[in-house]
Amino acid sequence: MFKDTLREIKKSLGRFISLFAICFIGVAFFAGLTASSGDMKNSSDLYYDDYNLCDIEVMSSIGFTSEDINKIQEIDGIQGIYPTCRTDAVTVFDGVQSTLRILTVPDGNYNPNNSNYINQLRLKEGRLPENDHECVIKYSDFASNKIKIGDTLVVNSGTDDDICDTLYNNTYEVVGMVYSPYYVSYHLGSSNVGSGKLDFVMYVYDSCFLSDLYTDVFITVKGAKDQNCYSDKYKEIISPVTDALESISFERLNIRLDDIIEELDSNRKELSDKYEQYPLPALESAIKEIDENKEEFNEKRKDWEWYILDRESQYSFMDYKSSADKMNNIAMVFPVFFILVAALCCLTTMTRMVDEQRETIGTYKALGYSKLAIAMKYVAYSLIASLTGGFFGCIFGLKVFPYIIYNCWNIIYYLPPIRYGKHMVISIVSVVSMTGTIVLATIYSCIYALREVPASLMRPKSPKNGKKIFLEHIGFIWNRLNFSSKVTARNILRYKKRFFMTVVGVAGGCALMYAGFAIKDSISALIKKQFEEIIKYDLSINYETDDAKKEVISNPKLTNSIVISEYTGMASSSDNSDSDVYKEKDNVYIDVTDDTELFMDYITLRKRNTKIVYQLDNEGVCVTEKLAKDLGLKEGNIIYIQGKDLTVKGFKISHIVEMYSNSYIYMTSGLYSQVFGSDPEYNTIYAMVNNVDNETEKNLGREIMDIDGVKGTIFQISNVSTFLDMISTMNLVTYILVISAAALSFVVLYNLTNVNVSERIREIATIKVLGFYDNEVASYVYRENIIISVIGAFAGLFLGMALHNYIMITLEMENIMFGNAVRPVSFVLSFVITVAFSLFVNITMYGKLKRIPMVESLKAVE
Amino acid sequence: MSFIEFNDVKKKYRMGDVTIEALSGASFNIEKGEFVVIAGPSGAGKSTILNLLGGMDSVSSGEIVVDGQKVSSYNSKELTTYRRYDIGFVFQFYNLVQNLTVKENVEMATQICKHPLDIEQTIEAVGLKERMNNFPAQLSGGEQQRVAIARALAKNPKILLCDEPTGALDYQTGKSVLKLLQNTCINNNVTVVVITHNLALTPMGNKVIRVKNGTVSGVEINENPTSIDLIEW
Repeated sequence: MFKDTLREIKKSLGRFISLFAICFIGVAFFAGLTASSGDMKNSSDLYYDDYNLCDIEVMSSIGFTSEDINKIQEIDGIQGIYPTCRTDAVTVFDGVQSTLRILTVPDGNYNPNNSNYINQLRLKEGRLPENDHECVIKYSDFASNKIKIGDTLVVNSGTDDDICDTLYNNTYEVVGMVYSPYYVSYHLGSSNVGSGKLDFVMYVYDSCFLSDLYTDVFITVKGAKDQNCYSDKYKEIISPVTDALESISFERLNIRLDDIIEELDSNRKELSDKYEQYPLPALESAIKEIDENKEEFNEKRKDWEWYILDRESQYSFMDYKSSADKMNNIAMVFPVFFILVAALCCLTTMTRMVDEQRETIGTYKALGYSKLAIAMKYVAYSLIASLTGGFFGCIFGLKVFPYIIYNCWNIIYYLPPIRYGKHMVISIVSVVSMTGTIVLATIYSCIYALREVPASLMRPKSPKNGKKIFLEHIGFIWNRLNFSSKVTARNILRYKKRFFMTVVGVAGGCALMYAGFAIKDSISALIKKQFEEIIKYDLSINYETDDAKKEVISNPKLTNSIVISEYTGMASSSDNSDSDVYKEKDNVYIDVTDDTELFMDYITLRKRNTKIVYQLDNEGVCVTEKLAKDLGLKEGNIIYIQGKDLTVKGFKISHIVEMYSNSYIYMTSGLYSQVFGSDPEYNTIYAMVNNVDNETEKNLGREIMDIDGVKGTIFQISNVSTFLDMISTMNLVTYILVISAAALSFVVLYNLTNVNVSERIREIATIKVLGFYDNEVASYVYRENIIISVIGAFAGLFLGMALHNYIMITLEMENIMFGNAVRPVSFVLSFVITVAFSLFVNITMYGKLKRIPMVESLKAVE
Repeated sequence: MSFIEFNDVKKKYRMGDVTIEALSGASFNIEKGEFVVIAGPSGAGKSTILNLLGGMDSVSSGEIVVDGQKVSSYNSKELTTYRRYDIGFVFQFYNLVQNLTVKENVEMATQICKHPLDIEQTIEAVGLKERMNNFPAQLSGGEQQRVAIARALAKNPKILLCDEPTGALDYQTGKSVLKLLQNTCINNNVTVVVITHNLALTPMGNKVIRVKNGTVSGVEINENPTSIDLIEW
């Protein structure tokens, strides 16, 4: 019996291969896509472990004393501890000020086994600092563009303080570029100096910091590395330590206060002793000052706090985690789909196989084989096909898909090369579910044949009866069709299973392709709209003095300019933070103008879908779309905005306007002063230049920054590059989608056509005998394929729109809104390519069709 | 010159390393309007003659001439054209398209030829006027074979080739089908070639060609063919 199965495989190699291919593709996709998210997490977990990423970071509003550190160290479960300092500073490149954060490395003690060397640096190039005049820079696009190894950086505090009060020196030689597990994300966070946004990060020796107090404590926890840091087990290990930190924090802060009071008291005692001896008014006022200080400290104690942050509170960690989760959400959609198509494909194929072999089955039955034994032949056949297909598909899928996807994400994250996780569960589930589906489909198709008695099996199966279809009742259409259209119409409706399978398969392929094109469109359209249609100015300049303003405006390179007021603040949907509808958003730009007419030349305020352009008025504010959506607000609602003095006031939303990056609120100066009760502070110039390229950006930037009182300039062109990075990620996604679409459509169509031709071999032979030319025979057979493909492609476009929406929502980022602008050509392209695939399959089958011998028509009905 | 001429036709099939000679030099003539019975045991070469005459296969050597045209030298496309316009084929197993009604099955053949007969009249002639809009599965075997004959006839062919037309039918039905063929030959002046292993049918033909071991073992001419009604087997 088993030999018979093997011989069967040899005999019907085409069918075997097509089953194999379906399983291969299905399992490769299922396993590969599902594993991607896990591999992202696994790679990052191992990276975090290897480079000793802190499990907990503690910050204090008043710093830590060495006594605090000792107490922390005594907590049970702590593996390593690294007390350190950080400070934010500014530096200037080519006349443009950049903001940086300065972190530390443990003075040359870079032993990776040193458990107190936490957040270890991964060297990209150069070396780590070897004295307190050297530094390394965290690698990023920004850093690599502006800084080279060997450069010397001079840092300033960015405030009125001298940085030399904080740091031992302010000049550092760059000796290396590094990566850090602490910063895998693109975004570095915000700062309270300079532009408010961190541009890069620099590491120097611990000893560069002068203060006795530490600002940060990094902690690793015993046993935490043994766990996957995304698991609940990990959290169980960490939480006792955070709890313990929480509980000692109160005590430590009180002791800190007591120490201070004690010191003040002793000072006071000294002074009062002195006062008793020499009752001078100066001493009296000094005592009074100490008393005031004491009160002040007692008052301030309320605001003192230790911020205990586990990994889930770290931006970088959470950002990557959420991307991995997004990936998982995307991956969830596809497997179901592939399994469905594979099951339908196999069902048709195996049904056909069993039908062809009725006689053999009858013979076996007559010879006395049990039903089970006979069914085993076919089950074994499909089992071999699906297991081998699944096995190889699994190996292929688990290697290839995670690799591509991981590297796509790595365009915006800084992680070392992928490290594959173990995916036993995924492998088993994907292979078993695929094999199971296929074996079930086989059993299902065997069951009918096996129920029949041998004698009836020996007789040919009566062909499926022709049936009238609804179209025939519409006489004026039906009578005009020629016979082959009629056959086509009836066939399509006769084999519902096959029809469904092909439509699903083709629609799936088309949907994948459409989604691929549409994602690309949405993002490229976004760039064009954002930077050409909506934001029309080329640069914005932030200034402090009127003289600076005048000098900037008089610069002949600026062709046009407008002065506005701009600040960032918080916006919310309610003035009551306890309310259910309360939602808030930070870092919202509030732009105020007194010339609404002129303002329209710089920014287009328009509705996204209707393109109606609005002019600002004193009735209400314009809010950008993403902000309105995030806060759950509509036109006519009230939005609460924080003023420069931090008071919160409500404004009516008159319009919601199109904008793709960041959040803005636009209003007139009249409205601003009316509601906030003070005039806006003009501090920003929007300007246009004749042509913008990197060279002008550099020169003009330097020229403007050299003006006293100019705080910063931002060229729109530099924002474009962020988007371009994103697009390169999306390009890869598009390729994956299009290739998988191709594979899917091809396999499904090939399978269908194959079954269709082999089932109708007699009919085809007959019409050949009747004198149909080859092309007429082909069109007779293919017409229904083409019609089904077209139906499938149409269905696919709808499915694709849903898929595209889903992917876009899943991929959505914090400050970017993706438009839904899809070029019509993408519709056409995905449709045409899908139909072209179908034609291609038909052409490959043409040879087979031509070779069908006419004598088949003379044979007895099989 | 006869209407159909077979001159020393040979046909060899290669089956792997073995070459089988299915026809080792067959020669005969058929005149226009004749009712010819080609008879012989299984494996004698009847089907090969049918395939070659029907333009479904090409000769290894020798020549076939039909109505002055040398069919044996046709290429595949010319053979298709030949089948399309000159041959009407009646199969042992009817070979109707299950998904088409009786009328549509006939229509299918007429749509591709130059001077088709009226479809409804043809169906009426084979006695299936009432079943015109039925599907093949709703008909008996004899009725299905009549549809097949109607399909072949409606093309208005020069030659009607019938491969064991009664092979799958019972006695009475078979008789009525043969009657139909005989009448067609007489009334429409179509050359009918019936291939059978049933020697009892030989008296009904104007000409009987006996085939044995790949050659024509004898040709008999019946001046007065027997009506099918009088033949029993």
